[in-house]
Amino acid sequence: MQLPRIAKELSKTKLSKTILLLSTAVAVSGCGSRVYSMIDTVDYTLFGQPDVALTSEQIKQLPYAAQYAQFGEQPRAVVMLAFIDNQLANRGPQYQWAAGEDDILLTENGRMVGTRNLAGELNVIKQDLVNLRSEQGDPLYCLTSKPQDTDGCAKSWQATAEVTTDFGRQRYGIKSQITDLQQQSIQLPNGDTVNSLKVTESVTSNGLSANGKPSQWQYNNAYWIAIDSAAGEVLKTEQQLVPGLPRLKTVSLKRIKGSQ
Amino acid sequence: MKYCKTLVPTLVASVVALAASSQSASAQEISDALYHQPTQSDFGGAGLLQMPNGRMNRAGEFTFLYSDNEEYRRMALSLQLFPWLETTIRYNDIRTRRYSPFPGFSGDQTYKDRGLDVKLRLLDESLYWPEISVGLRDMAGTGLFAGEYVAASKRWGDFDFTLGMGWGYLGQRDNISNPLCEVSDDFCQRDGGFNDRGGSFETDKWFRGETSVFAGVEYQTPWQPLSVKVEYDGNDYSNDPSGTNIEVDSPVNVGLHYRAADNLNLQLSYERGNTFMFGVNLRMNFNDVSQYKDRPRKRDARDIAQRAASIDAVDSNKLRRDLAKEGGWGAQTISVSEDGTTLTTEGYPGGYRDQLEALDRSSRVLLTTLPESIKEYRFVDKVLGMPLAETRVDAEQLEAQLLQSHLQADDNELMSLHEPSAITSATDNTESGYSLHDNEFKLGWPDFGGRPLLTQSFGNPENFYMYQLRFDLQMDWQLSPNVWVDGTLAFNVLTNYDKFNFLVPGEEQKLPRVRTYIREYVTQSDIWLEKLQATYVKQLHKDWYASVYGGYFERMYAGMGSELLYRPLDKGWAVGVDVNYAKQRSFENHFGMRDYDTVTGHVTGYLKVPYVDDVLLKVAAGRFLAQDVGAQFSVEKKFDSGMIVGAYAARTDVSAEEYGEGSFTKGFYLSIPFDLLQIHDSSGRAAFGWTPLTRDGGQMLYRSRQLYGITEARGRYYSESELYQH
Amino acid sequence: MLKRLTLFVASLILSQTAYSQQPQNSIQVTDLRTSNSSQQYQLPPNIRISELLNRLVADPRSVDWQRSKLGSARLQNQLNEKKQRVLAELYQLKQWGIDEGNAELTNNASRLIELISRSDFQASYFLGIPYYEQRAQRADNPVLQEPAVNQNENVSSDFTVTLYPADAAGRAALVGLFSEPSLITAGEKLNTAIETHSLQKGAEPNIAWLIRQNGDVAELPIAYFNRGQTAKCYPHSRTRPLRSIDNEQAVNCWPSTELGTGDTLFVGLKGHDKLNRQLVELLKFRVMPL
Repeated sequence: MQLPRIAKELSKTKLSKTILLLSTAVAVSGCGSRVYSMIDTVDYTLFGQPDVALTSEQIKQLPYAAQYAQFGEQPRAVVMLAFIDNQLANRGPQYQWAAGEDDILLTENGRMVGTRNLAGELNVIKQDLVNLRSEQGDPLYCLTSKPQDTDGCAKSWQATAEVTTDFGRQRYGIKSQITDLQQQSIQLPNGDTVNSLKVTESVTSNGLSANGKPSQWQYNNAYWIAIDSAAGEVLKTEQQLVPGLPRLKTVSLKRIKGSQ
Repeated sequence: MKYCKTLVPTLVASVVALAASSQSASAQEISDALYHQPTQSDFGGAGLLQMPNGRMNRAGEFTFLYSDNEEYRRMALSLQLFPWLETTIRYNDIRTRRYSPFPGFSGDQTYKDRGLDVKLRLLDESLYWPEISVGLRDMAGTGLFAGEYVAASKRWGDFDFTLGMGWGYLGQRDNISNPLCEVSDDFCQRDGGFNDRGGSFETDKWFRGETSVFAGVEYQTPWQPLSVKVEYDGNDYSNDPSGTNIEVDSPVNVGLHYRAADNLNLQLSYERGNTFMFGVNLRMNFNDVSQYKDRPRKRDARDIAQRAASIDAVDSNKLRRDLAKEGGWGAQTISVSEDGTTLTTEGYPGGYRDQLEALDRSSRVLLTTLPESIKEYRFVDKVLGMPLAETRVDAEQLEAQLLQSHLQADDNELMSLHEPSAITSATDNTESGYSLHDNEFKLGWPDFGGRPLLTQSFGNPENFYMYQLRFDLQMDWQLSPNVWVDGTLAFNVLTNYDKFNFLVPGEEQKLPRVRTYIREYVTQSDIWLEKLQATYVKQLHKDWYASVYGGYFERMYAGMGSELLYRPLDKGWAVGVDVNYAKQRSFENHFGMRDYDTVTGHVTGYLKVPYVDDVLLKVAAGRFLAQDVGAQFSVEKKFDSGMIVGAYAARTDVSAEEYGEGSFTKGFYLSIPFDLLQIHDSSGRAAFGWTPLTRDGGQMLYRSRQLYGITEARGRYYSESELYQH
Repeated sequence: MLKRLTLFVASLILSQTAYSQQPQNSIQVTDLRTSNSSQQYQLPPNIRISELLNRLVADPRSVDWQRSKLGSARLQNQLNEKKQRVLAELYQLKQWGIDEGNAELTNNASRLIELISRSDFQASYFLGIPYYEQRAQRADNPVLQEPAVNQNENVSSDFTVTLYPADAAGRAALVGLFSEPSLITAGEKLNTAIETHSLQKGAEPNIAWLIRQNGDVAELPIAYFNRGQTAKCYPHSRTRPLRSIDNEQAVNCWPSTELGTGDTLFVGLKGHDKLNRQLVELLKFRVMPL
């Protein structure tokens, strides 16, 4: 079919890669005027979307609390705090973070307890976490409540994670064991150095693999809880609970306390 | 933030450049989708090792297979066209033989044998019945490996049992008397050799002669990627095309099939009790392939606030640019009706393969730009000055949808397809209404563009792979609203077509050489005028289209001609007729002609086959370039992803003897939507042809701007739109 | 109390729609966190679901949003009509079984009649309410309003919302022509559920229907020979909740390998594909016993 073409504008920065990648474009014969599109495609394939990196000036101007969030090898993004659900007995407040059009991340005491609209057929992320339920109190609640005095906090915890897949729901039995507590000083992207309690956690996740075989996954998670003037705020995390939702790394850009 | 980074096309520079979907990082396991899928035989196509089974793959499964042993190397492309039909094309490289006895012709190239297999399902598996298929192997090549079979497969837990009966190459063990021999004596004997000049359907040999029963089982081990195959071979290799004496120590072959990744399988087998065989195959599914799309944000409820208060406040230039950028709609005119409630824009939806995506986006641009008083948008597909189809969009409903002002959808359709309201120009509309934009025709400069182009041909005697990589400088120039000049200047970059010999020594040419001077054309010059054609098109009536054209059509022919097409809107069929005077171009100078000329033309019927998903049938009957009379048949199947696979064959009054190797012209082609290969949207397609051999019989003229392509909007097939019923 | 820090332009969408003559709608709220009885409220015009839920729910973590539903009386009437049609067909089938002396058919039809007549059905636009998405003001947050059946009509609607407590045990149901229909613990392997629960004679042995809590349904090959084949999935549509499966384009799918919370596995009558599909269209609105 021959239809008149719509002129395509080409960004100048892409031109430098033209010669390098021309050979690839040629491999798809007949692609004709689509060479530039192919270059974009190869560029995207090799380099993906760039990580977001804010300057400390930009961070200062953020209107609300925000953090960097990165899933696995995905490009790093900025998520903004949108809602806070008030504290319940034995549970801290729940934070709803938002990014892009409708990506949602829910956290409680720093732990990811829900995601929405992250999974997709073409995405690396295959599962969204619907909820994380437990009859016990999460040790992270105790630890964030009194990070300077952790003796009375439980060291283990059990929960059930429910995830959605393309056409269904799956459950994983989660067992958590706090393996280490130590003080550590960390630097935040805004340049501040903060004294923190580093909580190291070993998580065992039991569920069915994609082909229906009972399987077990093991993850080592870590949470850095502030022990400065606004003690208890979780500033940095590295965590994973289920196989279809890659390892999440977060770090605080603008802290919650003081921005409310 | 979008967490998408998979499924980027990897270009497999093999028989076709095929986009294999590559799963990254998290997929250590094999997808559910593949777990129970049939595996490939050594020959390509679902089967055990040497033997086929009764299995059909999932529709759209495409496999490129390579297998290797001491005597043979095999390459096969297998495609499950329909749930009940599997087709396979194969090259057998017989390492023990030369291509021809003439080293001057084919050098030291080893013998390549082409083959085509089909397998048809007779019965689907049910509680008590097995899946039963009948297959023809190597049915249209030289027939060296020709064999027929009926196979039944029944699954029991992790075991898949197969029992079958084979004839020909598959039945050489001759362990049973041919049951068909009881029915008719004709079936008792199978003649050797092949008919005509190879490549014909050897129906008079099918299911004849030696017959064997074969059997096997495939076992899915508890370790998911691995399955084990054991088979009792129906072939005892007593008369093998390798020409060597193949020893058979055991009638039983065993093998391991390992799914290394979602799209890569390995097979290792120990056959005949003495030979190792190794195979590897890459798979993808033409229905499933998809690609991440980098798209501009779709306008939504947030943008409605920006809409203009009155039509005078609309920035028409910005509107036109936004329509092109966000909606892929190239507007030629935009006007509002006298009563101010309907906006009509003529143009072409060039940006998206899925026309509804383009129209949805364009409608959103209109909704968020135009005042509330406009209740309906009309998009008129207009190509070369001809309004072809009109899509009406209910603006109020769209607004309600964007604002989510109801829980439930409206019962009326948001968009509907119509004949263009009036076949008049937009200027007539303006007299009574209001024109926002009118791109009046002005004679301007031609548009130029460039593209690399690879033409290729496989399985030639001279060199297995023949190619030409060239760079085309293209021009199109609109001289008036319906007169276009298309030109292409081509530059040779790399080629080995200069090795093309065509004539087997000692053979005499019986047909005019209309297509076989390839080497002469290729070696003439590294820069040549590929085409320079002027075309005038006219819409005679809403369903009738005509064109007159002339110039240098293609590298080998120049001339003039005319075409007439009848194509009702959304009926799924069309009929056309074309008549051309064609004169062969010179290969000694750039613009001259050779003595040969002819009148060639066809009556062509186009039909989207009812009740079958996305199958287009074309039959062109008439006179071909070598003055032979006959018909070309072509069938195209479109998969969910937009990939199209087609096959064509031309039978004319040229006898197989006159035609030469291959007996008649035939070939396959693959058309891939650009947007599967790139992250940007596109309505364009890349085509790859596969013609076993180029000969002179049944050859057609190539010309630009054929009416069926131009009038795509009368009945979409190469682009998508759910508004079309047929 | 809910603290809102949203960076999205929240009010913009909320206040835009200006319908002059708005009918007065009401909503019947059944909040199973607190009691089994329901309460009736008048709805302000043009209220969006997120705003309604904001007013109803103080702590979203106490609600099982995946199980909660939102429908209307109008939709319920349409579903009831459909239910009566299906029941009539089943009675006819039962009568035919009696006339023909086909005890197997009679028995199976009776079982299905009992299933349909004894179950509660709640016709719903939302099967599972996307609370967190809705309050972000973006996805799937419509105005509580049904379109007028004809242009001049201005009829008010009575909506229904049911909220479930978050701590209920995860259950899945096996219904239809299982020898013993039952509630099982969610998380059981699909294959195990099929293998360990025998079917009635005359039940469809090759295909079962998997009805997800969110209304998506999958036509699932379950016999030992076809279990590896793709299932056909039909996603639930909020805007066309009662649309027949026959009018929808199936999506090839491989539903996850276990029965999730709130899922229903249904086995119908052998040789009655159309009736089975109609039953599935009803069953996706079935209220699963607590």
